[in-house]
Amino acid sequence: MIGGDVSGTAGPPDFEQYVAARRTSLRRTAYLLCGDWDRAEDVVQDALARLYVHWRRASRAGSVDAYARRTVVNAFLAEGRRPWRRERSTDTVPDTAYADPTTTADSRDSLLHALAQLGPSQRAIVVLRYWDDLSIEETAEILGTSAGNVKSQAARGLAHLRQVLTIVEVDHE
Amino acid sequence: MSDLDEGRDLHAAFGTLLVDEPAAPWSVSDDVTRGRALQRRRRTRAGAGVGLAAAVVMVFGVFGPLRPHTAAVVPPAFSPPAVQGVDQAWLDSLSRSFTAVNATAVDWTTSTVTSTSDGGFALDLNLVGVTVTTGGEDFTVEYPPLPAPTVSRALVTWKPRGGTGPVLASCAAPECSRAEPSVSPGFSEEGGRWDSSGAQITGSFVVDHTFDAGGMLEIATSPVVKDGVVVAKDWATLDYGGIRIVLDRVGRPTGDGTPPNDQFGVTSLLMDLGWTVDGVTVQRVPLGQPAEISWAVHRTGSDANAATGRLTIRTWDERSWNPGEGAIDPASVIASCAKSGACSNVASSIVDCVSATGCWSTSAATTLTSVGAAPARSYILYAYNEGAQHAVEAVVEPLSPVVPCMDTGFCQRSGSFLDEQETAQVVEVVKKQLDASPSPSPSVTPTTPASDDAVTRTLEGFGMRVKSVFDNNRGANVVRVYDVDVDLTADNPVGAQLTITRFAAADVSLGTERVAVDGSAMNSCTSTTCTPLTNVTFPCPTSYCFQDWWAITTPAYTGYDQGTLIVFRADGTNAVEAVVGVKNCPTCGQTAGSGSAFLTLEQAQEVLTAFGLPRGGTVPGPSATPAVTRPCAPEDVKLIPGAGVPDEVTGGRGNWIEVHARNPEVDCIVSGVDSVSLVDASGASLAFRYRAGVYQLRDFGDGPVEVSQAVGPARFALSKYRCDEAPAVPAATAYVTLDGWTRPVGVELPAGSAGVEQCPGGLDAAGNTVYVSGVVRPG
Repeated sequence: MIGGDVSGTAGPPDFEQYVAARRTSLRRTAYLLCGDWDRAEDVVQDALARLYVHWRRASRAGSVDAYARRTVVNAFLAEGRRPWRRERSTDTVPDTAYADPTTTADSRDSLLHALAQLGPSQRAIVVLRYWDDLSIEETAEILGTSAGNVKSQAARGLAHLRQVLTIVEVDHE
Repeated sequence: MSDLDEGRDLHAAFGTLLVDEPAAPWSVSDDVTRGRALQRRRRTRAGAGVGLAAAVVMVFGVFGPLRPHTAAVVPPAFSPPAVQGVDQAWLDSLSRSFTAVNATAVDWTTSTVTSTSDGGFALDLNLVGVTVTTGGEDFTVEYPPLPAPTVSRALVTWKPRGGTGPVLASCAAPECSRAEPSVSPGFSEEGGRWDSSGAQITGSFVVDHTFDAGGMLEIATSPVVKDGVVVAKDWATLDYGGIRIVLDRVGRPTGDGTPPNDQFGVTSLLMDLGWTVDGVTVQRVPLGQPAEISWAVHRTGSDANAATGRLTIRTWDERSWNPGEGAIDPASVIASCAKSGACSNVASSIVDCVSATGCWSTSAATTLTSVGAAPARSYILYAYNEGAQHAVEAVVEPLSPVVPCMDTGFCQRSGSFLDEQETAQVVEVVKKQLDASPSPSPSVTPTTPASDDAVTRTLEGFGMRVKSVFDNNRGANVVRVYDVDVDLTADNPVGAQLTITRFAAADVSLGTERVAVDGSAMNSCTSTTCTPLTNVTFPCPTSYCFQDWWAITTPAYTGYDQGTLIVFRADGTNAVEAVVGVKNCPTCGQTAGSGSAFLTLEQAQEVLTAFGLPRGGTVPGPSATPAVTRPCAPEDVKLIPGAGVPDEVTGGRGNWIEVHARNPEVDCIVSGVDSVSLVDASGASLAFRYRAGVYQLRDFGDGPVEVSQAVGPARFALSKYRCDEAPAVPAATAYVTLDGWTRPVGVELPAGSAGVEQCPGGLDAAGNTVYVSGVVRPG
């Protein structure tokens, strides 16, 4: 007789494979952007939901990674625009438990602090350039800005981070 | 050295930040589920605009009335009231958004919608908890019976000209802290939170969402406090994030943006009388209670003349008519004036007349103290019509600021913004509208035959109304279909169908266990399609005896909804059968397919008795042509594609397939479609899900249909949702196996937009479920 249903929640197989392989990486990028694992998880969930909707277009475009990073960055920037998520530069960094024996908590605190002092867009440039190792052109394309802007913002961001890290190193000596 | 090289050490430094990376709380399937949900929401949003048009088109379309979508099943009390200038669908989406975000819904019976003079509105919403059950792609909502405790309160303001909302305007330090304004593409936002009680209760949140295109939408949610204690559930009050999600879901309010008005035309009258109407407030009244609308007005001028006033009109119709002593409704304000010292200047004018529609009597008074919702010094005018069972009450509240009393008599009237004559004008306007409004009409008066009249009167005795009666005769059998309004008191129609068949030949011996009459619904009852068949032989006080068999259909029954009651009556020679359909009430909270028959067994038997079992030659005797019992074999019939049934509005695609007799000698019956398989032009099988029914529509197909060249063909429909994406692979041939066949017969399908086609996306794609209807007689 007619009837029966093979319901399930499976998505496109390529999407599932991609998520399984790349989610951790995207989440780490999101964490460096947000400075908070919970928010990073939110951002990645939001980004992957959007990626799912546009999966065919993204997979046809040939660079799923670039598309995924763009959705992560956009989700992060959109989050930042919401008033309850509004970030404010503060003099104190939240307490965090650390387990890495090779790096001092102070230097991590300082790096997080320095990252937090960058504006969201500049932080995105720094993270994409120096964590995801994207080229200036790739970064510019993801952020929808010019290569010149990426170059100058990256240089300023890097200089700021170096200054902070240098101060920490000096303090430790 | 490039700056990337310079950043190499930074990469390593970033890596150190990840040492406390928590374990991932996710799974791939979670991301897939969220993605599908987002995709569905977008499709829903995109399709919402055409929903109404689709309903209008399809209600009168090929298939019959629309099948209510599960998501559309909302009890009346949880459906917003109709308010001039405010889009009801937008209000509904607001309530649904609360449901999606924090499992609450707007109780519209305790909430008010105020249409404001600038084309905006203000909502004072009471939210009650609902139970949301998720499963697969869908979720179902179980609404509580009302009254239910309010778990949160929401104040929503729409200002089409922009500006600050009233709640955010009251957000001030130290009680309330504001977030910085934020600007996003298309809109800007500002929010606030009450850290301690001030203008709002502690824990209240507000967000003002200003659209670049113009207009400001403010949503504020608050805990509920009673007697100084927060009684709300902590999950029920939305924070910034929750409000933002609701704002995202509902978008910019839609509506015609007209100034407030009302169905009575009172607004215009008040303006003619020199008052500026600030807002018209409407609340959805529970069934059986009077409707209520109030007008807030003001007049400008010198300080001495500037004042505000309020007029409240309550109306009663047949459904809420509940005459108390002196034909005055006990729920009216004027009824409270019977209490000593409550009112003064009580005057009545009772009119008797011989008019069939009755005459209007009046009663008026001025309140001395606060009476019900009317403050002291209100003027009350109550008019009622016993014949039409209509009443209207106007409560004219005193002006604010209250005009000082010069003396008792002067004070009583000068405090109201409408004088007695003006109030009478207002009531007159409402009375005319009430008289002109349609009442629940009486049943249609059948012209033929007498049995229809008997059935109609019997159903009326059960408090129902027969809206129409029509023939659906099959062969020599007489089939009458009664379209019944089941509940005259419901504010939303509750319909059902009763089908009574008088069989031309019914050689059913009394005392048999089973009915075996061709074409009867009972004949299709098996151990799986019906509840156990029950029968009883009625005693024979006279020489006349008969037997009743009854059963209720299960989901396996093809042709009638689950829960349909079938009662078959025979006296050994003649037989009649009643098929009692399930209630059709899309707005009653009834889940599709979960209904029950609209008559009890006893009521159905009473109806059959009214219809009459033919005796003494009062009905046609056995037909000269033996009833057709032979199922059609594949070689008896040929399948021919019929008309396509595309619908661009709903995205429906479909094809009729007709079953024709191959030659004049063929006379057989087709009971239903056992299976269908679709292949493409190359003969390759196309992957589809197959379901019984019709896409987006009420299932149809009433079981066995006789097929012969004299009688005509039978037909059934293949239908589905269209393909949203290319490429679609058209189905070229359908292989059909009718009930009882052991092999399929192929039929070539027409090409073109109406054809059935396989969509990309696999079996999960909405366009890859093919619905196969039951068989019907064309036309």
